[in-house]
Amino acid sequence: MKWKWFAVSLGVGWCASGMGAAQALRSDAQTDTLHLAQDCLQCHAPGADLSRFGVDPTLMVDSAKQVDHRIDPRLFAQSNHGTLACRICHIVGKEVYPHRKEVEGNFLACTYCHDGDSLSTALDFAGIEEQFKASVHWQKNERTRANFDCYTCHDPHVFDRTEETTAVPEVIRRDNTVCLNCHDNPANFEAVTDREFPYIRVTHEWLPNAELHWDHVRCVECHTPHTERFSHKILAKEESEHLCAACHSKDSILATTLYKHQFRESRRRRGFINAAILGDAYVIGMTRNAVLDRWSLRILWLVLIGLCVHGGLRALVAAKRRSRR
Amino acid sequence: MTQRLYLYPGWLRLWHWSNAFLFAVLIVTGLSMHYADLDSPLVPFNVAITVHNIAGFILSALYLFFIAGNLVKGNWRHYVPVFNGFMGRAIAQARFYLFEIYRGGPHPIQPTMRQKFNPLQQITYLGVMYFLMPILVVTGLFLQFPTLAPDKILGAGGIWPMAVAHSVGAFFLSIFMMAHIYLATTGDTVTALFKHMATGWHEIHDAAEVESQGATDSPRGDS
Repeated sequence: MKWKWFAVSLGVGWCASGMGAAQALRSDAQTDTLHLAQDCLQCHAPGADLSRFGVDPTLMVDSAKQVDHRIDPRLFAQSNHGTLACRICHIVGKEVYPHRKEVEGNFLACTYCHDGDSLSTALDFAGIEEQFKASVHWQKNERTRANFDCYTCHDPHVFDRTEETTAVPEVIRRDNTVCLNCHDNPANFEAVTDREFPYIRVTHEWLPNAELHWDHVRCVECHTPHTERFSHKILAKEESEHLCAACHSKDSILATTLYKHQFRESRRRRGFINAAILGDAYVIGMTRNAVLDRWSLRILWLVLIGLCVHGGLRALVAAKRRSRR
Repeated sequence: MTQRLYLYPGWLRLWHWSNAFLFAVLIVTGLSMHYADLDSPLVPFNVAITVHNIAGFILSALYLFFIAGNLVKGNWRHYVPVFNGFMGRAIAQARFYLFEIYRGGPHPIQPTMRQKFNPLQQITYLGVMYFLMPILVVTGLFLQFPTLAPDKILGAGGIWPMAVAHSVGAFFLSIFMMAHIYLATTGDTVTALFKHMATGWHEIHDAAEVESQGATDSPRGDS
């Protein structure tokens, strides 16, 4: 599936007439024999008994294109698209088996459904396209752009954006898995680019406690611009955030990115500023205890003043003694 | 007449001055990380954390060296308070620091080879070296290796109590260091006790000699 997340379509053979046909087929989808996910999953679930239908098992995984046609029913059911019938999206050529070869590669763009609806407004697909084209994924892959599309990162069969109700560690794991699918997997990486595979442990050698960071923040915290709304402009390593204090400070960017939903409630708890993250992590410089800070400063000043007064008086008395002699 | 006592052997002086230097480094880098700011960093965060970690490791190793040295050389005895008359001597020492020091009066408790600390030093050093320092070292190790910390403590991430204990411990040790440096100026001269700690020899002068040297204030104080 080529990247047509935002545009009407960029796929081969996808033209105005095709679009019309697809729309017509979509309305017919409800009556097709393969319209329900359960029907398709008879073959497309991992471990399905394909021999029942005389399907060649090697067809399920296209290793050359790094495409896996198997769908995990559990993950699909939990995904944002989990209630949809497969043929809502897979319109052309999938209504029968064997699927029609001549329409292979023709898929719906996200905007086919999300055009003018509340989600498309919220997600700003046009903005995403702009950001994506400015991202390192697009800019640095001139020769291999055809291999890189929205679905390279975002598998619509497991896609779940219900961040507000998802625990932060799960959000981190889920989002980082998207990046690490290629950036920690040479085969997947080389399927979408000619560039040499950069080992993340090498490229992140400068980062103290790298593993700890990967467990507790998302790659995109540093590898996207710090904008109010999440940006799909993935930054090159040179442009990515290298200043630790961007997160490790009172005005940490984590408050407006990873923990933005938690921060809507309260920034202070048990005297801590940025307390919303306390349940998951302690970020030096960010999760400070304001009460302790305040009192330690007061005590410090008192001690300093006390020592200065004591020392000053000693010097004064000593000077007087000397003058008397 | 001057009495000279070799109170601070080489290993102890090496530990003391290394400890002092590392402490200063740790306070500056620790404060810089705690109050990290993008616009006006005291020390850039990545530099601060690297230096803090290295200094912390060396300090921890030196602490073990100090403990071992104390056990082997018997220096630990100086930290054990003599309870008989302890309060009276502590009050006398406090009165000296608060009042008699201005009159240039004599130090109420002279160091000896058997007991080199006055009661206030004893109780303070005991707390610092055998209570605060272990807390600082252990919590520092948890902060360096957070996976060793419990997953949850009191419903929050397991590392925050370590961080709080580390900050509080570091704060009290910083206060101690300030007071320690200041009290080191209360010798026969302002620099006398620093010299003692540099050479290892503690000199006890009689009052007439001190007067003739033009001492600025009280005799013999903290070391």
